[in-house]
Amino acid sequence: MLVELLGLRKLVGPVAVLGLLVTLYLNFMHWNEEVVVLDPIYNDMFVVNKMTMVFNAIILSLAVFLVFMGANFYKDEKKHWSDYLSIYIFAVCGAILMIGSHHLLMTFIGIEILSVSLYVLAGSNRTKVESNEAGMKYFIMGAFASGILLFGMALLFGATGTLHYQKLNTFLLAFNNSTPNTGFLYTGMVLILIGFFFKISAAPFHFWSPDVYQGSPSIVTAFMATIAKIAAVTSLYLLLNQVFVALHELYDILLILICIATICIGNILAIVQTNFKRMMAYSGISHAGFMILGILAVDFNHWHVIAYYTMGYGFANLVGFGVAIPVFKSMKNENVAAFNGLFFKRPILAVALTIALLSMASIPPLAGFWGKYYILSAALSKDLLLIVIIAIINTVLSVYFYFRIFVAMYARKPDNTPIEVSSSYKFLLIILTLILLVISLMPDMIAGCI
Amino acid sequence: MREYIFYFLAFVSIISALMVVFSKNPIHSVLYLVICFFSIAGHYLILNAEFLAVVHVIIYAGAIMVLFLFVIMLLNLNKESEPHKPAIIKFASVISGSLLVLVLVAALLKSENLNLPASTHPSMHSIGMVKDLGKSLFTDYLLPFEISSVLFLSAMVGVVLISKKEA
Repeated sequence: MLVELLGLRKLVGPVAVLGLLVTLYLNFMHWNEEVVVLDPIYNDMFVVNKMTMVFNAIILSLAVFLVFMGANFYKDEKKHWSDYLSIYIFAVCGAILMIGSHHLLMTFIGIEILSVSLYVLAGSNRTKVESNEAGMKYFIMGAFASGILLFGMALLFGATGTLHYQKLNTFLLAFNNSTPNTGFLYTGMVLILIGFFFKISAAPFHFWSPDVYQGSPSIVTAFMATIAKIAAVTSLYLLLNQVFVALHELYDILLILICIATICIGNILAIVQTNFKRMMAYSGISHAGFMILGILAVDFNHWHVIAYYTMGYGFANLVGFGVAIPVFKSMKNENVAAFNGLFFKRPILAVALTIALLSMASIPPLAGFWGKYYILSAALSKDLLLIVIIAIINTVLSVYFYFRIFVAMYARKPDNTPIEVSSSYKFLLIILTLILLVISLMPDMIAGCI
Repeated sequence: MREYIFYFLAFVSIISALMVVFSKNPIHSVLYLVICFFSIAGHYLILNAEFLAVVHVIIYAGAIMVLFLFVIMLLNLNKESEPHKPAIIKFASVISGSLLVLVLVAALLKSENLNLPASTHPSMHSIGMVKDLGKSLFTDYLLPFEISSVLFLSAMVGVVLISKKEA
């Protein structure tokens, strides 16, 4: 699967799309076999099962649409498109490695491939100071986070003598207080968690995210908000559930605190933002909080809840950015005010954005609502009542800042700047919105399928 | 004997690391950093990791330090051009840094009876030798080894992308 991805990678858009689609197909090749038929491959480094297939499929389908959007975004600089595209594909490859990894070393390499590609992409608009700042900031902060992650892994290796998921799990299940090196073990675990929290921009480690989201080119922001975040969350979910599950009494309190802080900070600070991308960054932080709640509450047999949430989140974000990119390009600014009167100028774009934001604000029939519903009911069954209450209050708060965009789109007077959208791009947005609607309207069917 | 060498190397590396931070002249900092790297390579040798030690010397003390020196000489760093942070930020960073050190050291001190499974392993005495390292790289760790080429490829494409002249 991976080899195909690398082998087919040519420096032109159609071939990249084709390669991604072939990978998507190969991904499902073993779908109908029994779940655990496929053992870890390559000396237990990489694992393929139903769960990784589903998460890979989410990542790959998002990637296909991002390539289409990118072809439109980089229309004016055709020359560099192949360079950008290759880095996108590398990043997707890193994301897939993170999800399928069965060894902490592989996880680390996957994270690094994804992050290094994103550092470059964040700073890729060299003529803009903000983009340089974003790239630099992301690089330095990310390098420290990777260092902390690696330090944690080294301590864990020192305490247990292995980095293999299965062996670590066996070691930890046999673990009790008389086992030596508990200090190494605990410190290593916490440092690894800190590294991951940085990557998914959870609350005390979120400071990079608004600046980086704002400074990066919009298409890169879309990439970070969807694929990078989903891959990191999935990887953390797998790590906690496959490895550290024996220690869950120890890290639960950590996750609870971080979850509350992330949800609150994300939503409250999103209210005061005027820049759309900054607002989406804070909204992404609060969604990361919900995903942490999912990691906390959803056990390993119900992983489709996490898959469904990330799917809804990813596609809603993609539609949001897909509408925002041409609007920003034509209006030459990235504030919420750029959407003024969008409905009267480009009704299709406005409706697509409305559906996406309603989903993110978790208004009932849409995917965001069902995702949150599943996660919150899982949390309720685990007696996490306090978090559920806080999360619901915050969801209500979040409706406020999403509605500011609706007010701009429907109630404000449009100015005379036309928004240029090609008809093929409109078609792409319509398809994306339809996918989001399909995900929304059949939550049970999709959750039952996977 | 081994123990004395360890203490000596540890002393040298800590002192030189401190001097990297405290010396005013950036060139001196870099030279102290070279000493620091060499003493760390010595640590690797004590731990039987000869390959790691050689690579460390070649890459860090060789390539990276030369790059550092070039950049510092080209930048022509003066003390005046360096912006001074306000005292409160310095204070806050000192406090948070010390807190981090305190927490980490305290947590690690808790595991007093260091009984590391890795060090009691029978094949431990030869684990860092080039032969065993190569063997495990191309058998057990083949996939990470190959995949890291993707990492470097992506980094290289990125460098070309960022540094290419706008034609």
